[in-house]
Amino acid sequence: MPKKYHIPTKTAPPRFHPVGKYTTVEFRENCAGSCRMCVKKNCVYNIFTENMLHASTMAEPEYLYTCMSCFRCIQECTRGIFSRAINPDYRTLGDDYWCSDILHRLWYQAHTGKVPVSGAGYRGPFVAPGFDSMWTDMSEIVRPTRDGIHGREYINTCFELSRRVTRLEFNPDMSLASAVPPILELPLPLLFRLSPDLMINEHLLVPMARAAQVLGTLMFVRPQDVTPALSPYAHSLIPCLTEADFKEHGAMIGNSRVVELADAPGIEKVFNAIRNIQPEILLMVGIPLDSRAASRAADLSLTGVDSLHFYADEHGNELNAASPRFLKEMVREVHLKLVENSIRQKINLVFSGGIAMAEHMAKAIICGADAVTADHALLIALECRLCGRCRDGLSCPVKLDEPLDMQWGSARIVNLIGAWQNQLLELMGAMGIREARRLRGEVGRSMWFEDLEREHFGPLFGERKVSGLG
Amino acid sequence: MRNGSKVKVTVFHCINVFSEGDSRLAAKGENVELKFVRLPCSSLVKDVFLLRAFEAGADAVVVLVCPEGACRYVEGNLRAKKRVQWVRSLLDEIGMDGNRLALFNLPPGDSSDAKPIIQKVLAQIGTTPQAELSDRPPAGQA
Repeated sequence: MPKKYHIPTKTAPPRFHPVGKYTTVEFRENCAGSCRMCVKKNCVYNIFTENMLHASTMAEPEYLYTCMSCFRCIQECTRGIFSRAINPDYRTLGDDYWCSDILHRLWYQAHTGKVPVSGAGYRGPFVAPGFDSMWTDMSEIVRPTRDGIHGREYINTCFELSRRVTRLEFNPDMSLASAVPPILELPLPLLFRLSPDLMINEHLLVPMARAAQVLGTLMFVRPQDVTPALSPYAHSLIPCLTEADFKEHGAMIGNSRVVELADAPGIEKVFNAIRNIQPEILLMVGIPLDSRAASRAADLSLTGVDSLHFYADEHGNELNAASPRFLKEMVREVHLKLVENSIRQKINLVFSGGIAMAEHMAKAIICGADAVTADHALLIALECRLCGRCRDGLSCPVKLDEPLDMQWGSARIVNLIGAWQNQLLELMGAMGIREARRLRGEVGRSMWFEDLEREHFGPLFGERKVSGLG
Repeated sequence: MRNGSKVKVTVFHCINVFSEGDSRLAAKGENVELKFVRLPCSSLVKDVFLLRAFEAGADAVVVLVCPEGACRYVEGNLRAKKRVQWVRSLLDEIGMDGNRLALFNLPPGDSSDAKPIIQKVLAQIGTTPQAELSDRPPAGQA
């Protein structure tokens, strides 16, 4: 049995106290721990002790960042004076897509490298737009083994970035006659990309590149962002070039395993020129995820490209559309177009934008992606609050515009991806799928709200008059 | 108050009074900087936070709480009132004038309800030299 791919996580505490979700409100003042059985001492997650150092600065009310909302303290207080309230600043974190709960959970995962849990359970709506209107079929779930997810049989999360030959031909002496292109297999269906919408600087790119190297994945970089500090990680970088500037970056192409070219009419004409610089290079084309994406994918798949990389916006929406469709519909459209043309098996599809949680990775693969990219999630792992001050040229509240400890930064990102990998293994184990490549396009392992509604309520109430989710 | 600079007022408010502070609460043309500190309950106003606001340069600090008997957490506003009174006595003791700190009960609504209160506080600290600030608190004030 091959050695299991394992991500080494190590606690990496935040540099700045994160915006905590809960605080404890005491109904009355007649307590002061006089019962000597104070629930604050008995917290199973030890959150009050952990928060003590921060609370002692008296900089803000006792907002608890690591609270799992099990509410044991409220239940067990001998005087019954405890209540939980939500920090008002917490509610305003992020935006409607990158909401406070997502930020909070990403911080926690980057801190601990553990799968987030919530004692209060899921109290959100039954269905919501985007990936929340799609459920994975967990019918194969079984009692976890004694060793948890690591005790399960091998689950392979690899995917390929290299083009595949669909048919092998042999010479009469049984030697291989087909030209087999180079193979590049990555251990996790996740690539890195720092979005230019927010902050990009060397202090952020170096720890991310290091984390990519540790994890065995790759990171997209713009050539203007590549500095000598990134040269030790050149093997883990995918330079994003254009038809116009690729000749200026010959050295970068020579050091890379994969290069991305921005889509342009006749882009396939430069593939040979790049392969002349580095014959083993894998080619990827970056395409905006708009209404023409599927037909463009079908055209490009007939050329010598290895993978296609589609860019949605930061919320996972279609670009250049008055009423944009979400990533899952767009992935589906591109995937099915290639299936229809019988060329899906040859190339790989990578999607960027809106991947905020581990489940989004699995759901995008179910829709038909081979891999996705983490963008804002990487910045959030480094404590970004998505306040948008950097967009206005203002200082960063968590000092991401200043040098940061590379070891700490890469540990935070490795922790986050370690937690995501564990969740992917949980999901795949529960779905009864042992191979990420087998999950691709496997919509039979998912349920979609629109379909369920149509099948179950359609016969009773007729067709939905209002498009979208109510 | 420093001559030539903006008057700084820090407003601590319970989110059950209003959820979002509006910096336009000061009348147009007034040289005022309002800073809002949202709290889940006014009982989380600790004396040190009030003093920190002064330390950070506030000319006045206003605490807006729910009406008595209407606190979601039973006694939160009463506890805030006690703390405000305690800090006012501290301010008096060190010669900073306790009237620069005030607490008002406001019914739940939007932040525009706080406008007359802010105006009243501004009028008080803006027109009266620090040493001559009135001892008489406005209606509803602790």
